[in-house]
Amino acid sequence: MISIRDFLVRGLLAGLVGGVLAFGVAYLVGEPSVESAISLEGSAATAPVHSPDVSTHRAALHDSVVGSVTTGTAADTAQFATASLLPPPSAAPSVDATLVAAPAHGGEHGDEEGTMVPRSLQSTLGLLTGTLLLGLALGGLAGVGLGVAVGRLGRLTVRATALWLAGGAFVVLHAVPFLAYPPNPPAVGSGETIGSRTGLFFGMVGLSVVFAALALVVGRQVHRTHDGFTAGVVGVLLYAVLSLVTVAVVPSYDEVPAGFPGQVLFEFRQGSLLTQLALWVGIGLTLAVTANRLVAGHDAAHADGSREHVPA
Amino acid sequence: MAHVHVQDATASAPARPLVLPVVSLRSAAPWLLLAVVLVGLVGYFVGAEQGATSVFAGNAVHEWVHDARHLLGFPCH
Ligand SMILES: [Zn+2]
Repeated sequence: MISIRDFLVRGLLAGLVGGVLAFGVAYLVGEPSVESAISLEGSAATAPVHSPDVSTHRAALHDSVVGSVTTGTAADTAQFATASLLPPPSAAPSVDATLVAAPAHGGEHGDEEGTMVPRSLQSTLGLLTGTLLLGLALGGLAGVGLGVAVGRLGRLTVRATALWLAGGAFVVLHAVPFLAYPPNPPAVGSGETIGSRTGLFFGMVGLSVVFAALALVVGRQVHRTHDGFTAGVVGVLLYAVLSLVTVAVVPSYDEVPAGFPGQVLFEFRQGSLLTQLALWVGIGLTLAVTANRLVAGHDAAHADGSREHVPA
Repeated sequence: MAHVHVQDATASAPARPLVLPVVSLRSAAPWLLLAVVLVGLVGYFVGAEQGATSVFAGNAVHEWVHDARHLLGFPCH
C-alpha cells in the first residue's frame, strides 16, 4: 500500500533537486544584476529611497571598501554612478554622503552586534541556503499534494499530474504574485513601505492559492457533467479572471529611483522569474519520474493476485 | 476510502492499464498540514524575517538569505 509518506519523501528529493537548480540559475543569471544594483546603491539618486534595511547594503559597500584597501573605492563608485547615469544631486546633499563617507559598521541598529554577512557569502552560501530551504519545503508540499492528486484528476497519468501540479504551483505561487508585485533588486524600493509591501505580497500569494483552490473545486464540479477538457478550461479561466482582476485592483508601488538603469531592473526580474521557474522545473520533473516509479512498482507488486511479486 | 481507479497505460506499458492508488483524504490531511506549516515557516524566514517583522534580533538572518530573498521574488527593501 502506498502511503502519503512515500510521496512526501519523493517530494523532498524533488525539492532538493529544484533548490539546487534554482541556486544555479540564481547564481549565474540573477547575481550579476544584484551586484550591479548594489554597486549603484551608494550613489546619489538612489539615496532617497534608502530604508532601515540599508545597513545590509551599506555593510556590503563597506566590505568592498575594505576588500580593495582604499576607501576611495566607494566614493569613486558613487561618483561614477552619479556622473554616468544619474541627474546631478539637487537641493538635498542628502543621506548618501553619510552613507559613503561613514562606511563602518551598521551602527544605526543598536542590536546588530556587528554580525555582518559579507557579500561573498550572501551571493553564494547564503543564496544556496535560501533556495535549498524553500526548495525542500515546496518540494515536500508538492509531494504530498501529488499523493492527494494522483487518481483524482480524471484520466491524467502520474507523470502528467506531477507536471501539471508543478506548472500550476509556479503560476499560483510565483507568476501571479510577480505580476502584482514584481520583485525588485537592491536599491529599488522605499523603506517606508516595506511593511505594507510585505503584507500585500504575502496576501497576494494567499489570494492566489484561494483562487486556485476555488477553480479546482469548480472544475471538479463541472467534470461531473462534462469532459475533462471542458472542466479544465472552466477552472483555468476562473482562476485567470479572478487573479488578473485582483492584480489590477491591488495597490501598486512605483518606487524605482530616477536614473536607475532599466536594463538592470529588467535583468534582475528576468533572473528572478527564471530562478522560480528552475525551482519548479526541477521539482516537477523529479516528481514525475520518482512518483511514476513508485506507483508503477506498487502496481506491479499487485498486478495479479495469483502472481508473486519478483523484485526487478 | 481506498478504492482504486483503472487508468490509461503509460507509454512504456501499453498492454495493461496502470492502477493508480487513491490516498484517502483523512490519512493525507496531517501530512498536508505538516507540509503547509513547513512552507509557511520557511517562507517566512527566507522571505520576510528581519524585514517588516522579526522574531530574532539583529540582521543576521536577513543578511544570510538576502540574495535568495531578492531573487526568489520576496520584497526586501
Ligand atoms: Zn535587499
